Amino acid sequence: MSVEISVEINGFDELYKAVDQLESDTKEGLGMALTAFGQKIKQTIRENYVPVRTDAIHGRAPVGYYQPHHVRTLRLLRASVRRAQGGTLRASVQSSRYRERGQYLEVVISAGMPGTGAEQYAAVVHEKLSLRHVIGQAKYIEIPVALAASEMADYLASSIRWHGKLGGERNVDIVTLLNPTDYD
Amino acid sequence: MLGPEIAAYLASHGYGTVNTNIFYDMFPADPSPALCVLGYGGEADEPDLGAGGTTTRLEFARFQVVHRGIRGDSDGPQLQAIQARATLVAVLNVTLSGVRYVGIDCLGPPFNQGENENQCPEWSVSYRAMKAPSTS
Repeated sequence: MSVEISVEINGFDELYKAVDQLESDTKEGLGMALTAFGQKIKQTIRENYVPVRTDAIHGRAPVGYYQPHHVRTLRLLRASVRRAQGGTLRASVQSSRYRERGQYLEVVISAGMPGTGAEQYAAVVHEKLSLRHVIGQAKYIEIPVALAASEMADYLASSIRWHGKLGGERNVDIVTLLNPTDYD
Repeated sequence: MLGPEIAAYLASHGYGTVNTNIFYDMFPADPSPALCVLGYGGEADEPDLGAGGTTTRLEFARFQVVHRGIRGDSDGPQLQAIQARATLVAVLNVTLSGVRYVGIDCLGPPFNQGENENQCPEWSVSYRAMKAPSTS
């Protein structure tokens, strides 16, 4: 069980036409810029969005039931579990290098180590809005990706220009061509 | 506001009664089955440039609908989630509770959230609404 969020940037076809032909270094330049942007979003997610402590609304121990030393032990135990959960989840947020998938260039931002059960934990924490996150929030990937989408074309354009993949003589308005409005 | 508008729309399509088994913003642990509309932000608004950019023309609000079934029945809420998804994405340039909705996009298939504190299964679907600002 996992959650998939995709951002589709329209306009690559027009961009390729604008540069007359699909040059391999152009595609690589776009891919590298997309990879760098994915890393940037990953860092933002890790620093600002990943839940570090989750107090589930249900399943709370009746604290009055325990003797004081039990309460202290319980608190320490809970704190260590929360730190471990938060740290594990934070560290598991990854952004892949770009890869070609058919006509698309793809970068995957994910959380939860696959095959360990953590993927399911990461997905539920992402989707369950009723959990009380003391630090961080639900939708910890979806929200920052959606917010970053509007900056993506600008970032790709400036990155490509910086690396000289598109010469100024071609006078291509990359930001207008790349239209990052079709995302979900 | 988005919550009551979507809740009223779902009620008008036979999913139940608002504040009885259709809720918004807060989802009480009982009753089951029930559903709840939960907003969670969205993207930047689009200003109305025709009005000098001082008002909002459209907003892009995200929300999740959580479907809860009775204990031991995971298929019921999952099926309701699928049906509600079809009902919601059919919204296209209509007025809901006096607010114009340009459209509603579904952000993914039904997601199994597990069980709540009463061991009742919950499924959710997330959406993005393109709409005029709510007036109340």
